[in-house]
Amino acid sequence: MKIEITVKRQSMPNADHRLQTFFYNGDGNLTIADWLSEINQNEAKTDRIAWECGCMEKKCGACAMRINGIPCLACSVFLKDVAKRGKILLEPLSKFLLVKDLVVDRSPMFEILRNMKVWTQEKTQYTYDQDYDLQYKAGQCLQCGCCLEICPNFLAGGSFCGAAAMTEAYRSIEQNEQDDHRAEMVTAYRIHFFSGCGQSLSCRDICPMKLPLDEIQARANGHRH
Amino acid sequence: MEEIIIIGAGAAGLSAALELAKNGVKSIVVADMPSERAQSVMAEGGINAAFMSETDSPALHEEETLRAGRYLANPAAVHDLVENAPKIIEELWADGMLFTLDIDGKPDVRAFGGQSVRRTYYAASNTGKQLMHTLINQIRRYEVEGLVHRLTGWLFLRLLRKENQICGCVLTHVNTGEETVFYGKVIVASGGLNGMFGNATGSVRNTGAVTASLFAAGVAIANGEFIQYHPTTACLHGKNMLITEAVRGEGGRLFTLCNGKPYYFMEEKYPELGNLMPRDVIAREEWALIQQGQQIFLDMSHLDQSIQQNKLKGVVEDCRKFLSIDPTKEPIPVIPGIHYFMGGIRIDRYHRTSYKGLYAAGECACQYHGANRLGGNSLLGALYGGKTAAKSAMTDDFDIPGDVKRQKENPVTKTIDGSYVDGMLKLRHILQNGLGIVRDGEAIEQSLSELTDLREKISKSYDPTASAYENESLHNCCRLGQALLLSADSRKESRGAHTRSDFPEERCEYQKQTVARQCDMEIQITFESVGEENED
Repeated sequence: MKIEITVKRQSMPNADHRLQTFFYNGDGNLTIADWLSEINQNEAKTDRIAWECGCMEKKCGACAMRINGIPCLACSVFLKDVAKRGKILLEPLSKFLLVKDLVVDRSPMFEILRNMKVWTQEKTQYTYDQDYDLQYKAGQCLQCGCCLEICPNFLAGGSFCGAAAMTEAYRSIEQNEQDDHRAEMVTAYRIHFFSGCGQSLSCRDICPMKLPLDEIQARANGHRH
Repeated sequence: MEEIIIIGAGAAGLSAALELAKNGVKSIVVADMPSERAQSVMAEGGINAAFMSETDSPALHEEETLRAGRYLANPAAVHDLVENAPKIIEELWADGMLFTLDIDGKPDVRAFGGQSVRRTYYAASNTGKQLMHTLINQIRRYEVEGLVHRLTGWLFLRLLRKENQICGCVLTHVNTGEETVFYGKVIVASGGLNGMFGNATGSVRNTGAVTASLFAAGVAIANGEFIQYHPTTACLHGKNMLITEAVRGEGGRLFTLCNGKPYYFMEEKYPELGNLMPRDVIAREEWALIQQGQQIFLDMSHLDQSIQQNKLKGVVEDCRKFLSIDPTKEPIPVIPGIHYFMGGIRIDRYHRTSYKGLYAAGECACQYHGANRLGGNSLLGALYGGKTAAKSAMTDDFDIPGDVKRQKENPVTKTIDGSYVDGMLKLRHILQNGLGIVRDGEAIEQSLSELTDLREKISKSYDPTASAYENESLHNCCRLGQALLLSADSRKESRGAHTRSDFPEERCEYQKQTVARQCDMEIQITFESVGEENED
C-alpha cells in the first residue's frame, strides 16, 4: 500500500513550523515508531525528525504524539491501521510547550504531582478498604500524557491535574495510613482533580493502557479525610 | 556534603538517590528522559531474594549466582547482595510496591531460570513498572524536601578529573546542545550498551555512550565479552521484544518441528531442568537449530487459563498487540536477542571505580553476574548496587578539586553529512557479527579489522547534521567496541555467555576477569584475579 506521511516539523520553540511529506510504499505492517526509526536512518538521516522513544513496546510512554489528530503512542499503532485515505499526519501533542518537531515538554505532569505531595509515607496495615487490582492498574499508568491531550479541562501548568496525576494520587491516598499526610493528599486531590473534572471521560477512552480511569476516579472520590 | 551527581534515572540511579536522601545527602539525578521512561520499567520477570527457610537460604542463592556466573563474579560482592536481598523486598513492600500475592496476602514467589528454588518476587508481568512506580513515588517526597533534584533533558558528555580524582562532569542538553558543568562525586547508572548493537530487547535510549566516554577517559572495562542473549525474544522492526522467562517458569515449553511434530529439545537434552536451564545454554541450543534452518517456538497454550490470564497477562497482551499472535491458542515464534551486558565498568566490592569519586551501579557496571546472569538478579543488582554506590560515595572523604580545565576537542578535518547515522549502523553491524552467540577467532579478527577501518574513517570526519555529543559518542563507542572485541578475542575458552567454537572448553586458567584499558591511545587487555579490583 502507498501512504503519504506528513510530519509537522519545528526546529525550536519560537521558530515557524513546516510540513514535510514522505511517501511510504509497503505492506503497512509496521508501527509509526518503526517507520520513524527507519526514516531517520535513511531518507531523513541528514535532517532527523526529533521524537522521543524508549522501549518501543508500550511500556515507557515516551512516544506519545498526535496521529491524524488523535493522541496515541507511536509504538503501538500500525501504519495500515491509521492511514486515512492513504494519508497520515504526525504532530506533537498540543497541550504542552513544543521543544522540537514531535518532542514536547511534559514536565508539568511531574511538577503537579510534587505540588500535590503525592507519595506513600506510611503504608496502612489495613487491607480491607483497599482495592488491590485497581491499585495495580493505577501503577501501570505510563504518564504518557495522551489523557491530558484529549481532556477538555486540562491545561499544562494550570490547577487541574488531569487523569495521569489522578491515578497516582489515588494509589497513594489508598495506601497511606490515615494521617496528616493522607489528609493533605485528599485535600490536594479535591482541589486539583475533583473540582475540575467535567466527567467527559475522554481520558478513559483514549488511554493507551486501557486503564479503568472511571473506576479509579470513583474510588478516589470516595476517600475522605 | 556537596551534591552527588547520579547519571541515570532507572532503578539503580533512583535506588542510589533514595539511599542518599534517607541519609540527608543531596543528589542530582541526570537523564535525558524522566524515570518513567527508563529501561527498568520494561523488566517483566522479578526480583530474587532468598529468605531463610527449609528449602532456601542466602547461601544457596549465592552459590547459584556464582555458579551461573561461572565464578567470574566477586564472591564477596555476591555475598553482600544475597544477604541484603530479603531486606530489599521488605523495604519495597513497606513502600507500597504491589507484588503479586499468595493466598495469605503476602508477596508470592515463582520459579525462574537457572535456579533450583522458587525465590523470585514479582508483580505479574510488570515487575519493573510496578517497582519504578514505587521508587518514583518515594523519590517524589525527597524532591519536595529538596534532597533530590531530577534533572531531565541532559546527557552525560564527559568526566572532569585531575589525575585519578573526579571533580565532576560536563553535561549537554539533549535538544539545544548547551553544555553545563557540575562538580561533585559521580555515580554512573546508565544501563547497558544496547545502542552499540541495535538488536537488544532493552530501551533504545541505553546507547552505551556514557560507558564509552568513561572508557575513553581511562576507566577500565571488565568482562566486556560476556553478553547475555535471551533465548526467547520476538522480532519487531528495528529491535527485539522480550518474551519473559516467566513463561518457562510457569511451564512454557520450547520446541522445534521435526517431521511435522514438536520436538521439545530442551526437555530431551536436559531432563532435570529442561526449559529452566540457564539462558546461555538455551540460546546455544537454539542457535544450533537455527543454523540448521529450524524455527524455534515457545508454547504456553497448554497452561492453566488462570496462569495465562493473571501471571502471564502482559505476555498474552504483547503478543496480540505487537505480533498478531494469540499465545493462548498458538505457539510464539522466538529467536535469541541481546538481553543483558554482564560486563561493564570495573568496580570493587563497594562499587568504587579506579578513579576516586567515581562509582558505578546497575547494568553499566561489572559486578554480580560474572559470565552469565540469573533471571531475577538484575533488578536486585541494580537496587542493591545503587544503595552500595551511594553508601561508598557518602563514606569516602576527600575534597573535590574545583579548578580543572576542560580538554579541547580535536580539530575537525572533514565534514560529511549523514556520516553519524552511517557510522552507527556500520558499528552495530560489525559488533553483531563479531560478538554473536557463538564466536570464533576468525570472525572476531574480521570484525576488528572492519572496526579499525571505521574508526580511521570516523576520526577524520565530522557530521554537522548530528550534534557534537553524537559525533563524540560515535567515536567513543567505536573505541569501546574494539575493547569488547579484543576481550572476546583474548578469552580463548568458552564460559557462560561467551562461546567460542574454536575453544569449546572452559579452562581454569581463564577463571579471571578480562580487563580492558585505554592507555596512550592503545587498548590493553589483561586478565586479573576475581575480587582483586582494589589493586587498580
